[in-house]
Amino acid sequence: MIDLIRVLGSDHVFEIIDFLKKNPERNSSFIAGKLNIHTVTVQRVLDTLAKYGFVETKEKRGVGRPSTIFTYIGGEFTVNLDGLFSGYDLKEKRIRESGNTEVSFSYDIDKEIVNAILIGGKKGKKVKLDSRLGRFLWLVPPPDSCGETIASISQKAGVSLIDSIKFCLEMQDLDIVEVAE
Amino acid sequence: MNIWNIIFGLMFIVLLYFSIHLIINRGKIEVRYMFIAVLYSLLIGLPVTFFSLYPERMNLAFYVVYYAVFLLPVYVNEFYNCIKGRQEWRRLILIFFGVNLIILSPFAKGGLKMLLIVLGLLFVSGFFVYLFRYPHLNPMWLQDTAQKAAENIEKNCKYSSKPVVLSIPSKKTSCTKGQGVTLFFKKKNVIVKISKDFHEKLGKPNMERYAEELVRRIKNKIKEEGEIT
Repeated sequence: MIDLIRVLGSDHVFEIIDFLKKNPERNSSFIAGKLNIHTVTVQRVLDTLAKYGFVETKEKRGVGRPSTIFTYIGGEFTVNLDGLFSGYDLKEKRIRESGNTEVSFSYDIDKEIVNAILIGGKKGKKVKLDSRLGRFLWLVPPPDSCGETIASISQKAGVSLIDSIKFCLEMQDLDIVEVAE
Repeated sequence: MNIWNIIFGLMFIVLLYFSIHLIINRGKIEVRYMFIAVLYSLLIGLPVTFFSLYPERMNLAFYVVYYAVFLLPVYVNEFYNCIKGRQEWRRLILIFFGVNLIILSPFAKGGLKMLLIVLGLLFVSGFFVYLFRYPHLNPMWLQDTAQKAAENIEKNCKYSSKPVVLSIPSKKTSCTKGQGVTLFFKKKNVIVKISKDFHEKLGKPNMERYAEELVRRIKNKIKEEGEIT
């Protein structure tokens, strides 16, 4: 939910939606070119809108790699503030690794980041992490330690507090991180 | 030169090398590491000794290929560690010049030959002094300390394949890989990687407490020697 709120608060979202309403079935690089906005920004906005069903996506095949085209649908969305802030009280809780035996990590010791989490061995599930969240997980203390607060780790890793809490909740669901007693 | 000269010569070299390691490791000798160290030293030392004694039998192609095979992986590894900032350039310089000056000696004659050997030995001695000053750079000492560090730590704790990061700054960067434990001293922190087998062998100690204790022992030892940590 927080990703949608962020996208709706960004600078170019109304320009992109307006353009897409008038020009359906366009890909992100075309829109970016016409509006003179970076393709990554347009892609992020459209992906988020598509995630919540405001935009329809289709794969267009032709010469070269297939591209995703977007069409505006519109709609409404209810903000559940209770849900949004449900994990916020975690910020002062101390977290640590849970020591799950099914989990192993792929990391870069020089960059000091976790690249991916391997769940269930090499043939199991692989969760890739971006460099910010990889850095956050790298700094999470080991199992059976006193732990460290999310606020403190997020500050060291340079990740926003709300993203850190969201990430920790995901990691808790995967039994990778736990709240220290 | 008869067979006894060769046998006594080899025994002298092995004993000398054993004594040097006994001093560097403060009396802690791990047979497996010692065997590898002696074997590798003999593999490096024998051709240069042979061709120094019998220069007329020198086969340049064999000599170059032999040392390239045995030394290049070591140099590449040391160079990579230096570039990555894992260790000091001093270590690579001491090893590189120490070994290369000695293996170049069969090509020189008379006084120059002796000069190359003496200079090479000076660099090699410098390397041993460097290892003595910073004992954690020696896997044998590290292995022994790593086992002792677990003695008074809470046991039967969980394991994680992710290294433990301790916010302890170091003035000198280094990287040592022991059997089951890998240590990275960085400018801002220390990273301790423990293998799962080694963790079980130690009785599954609390990883954070164990890493702290190991680093504390190393820092104390270096301070005892009056060196900068």
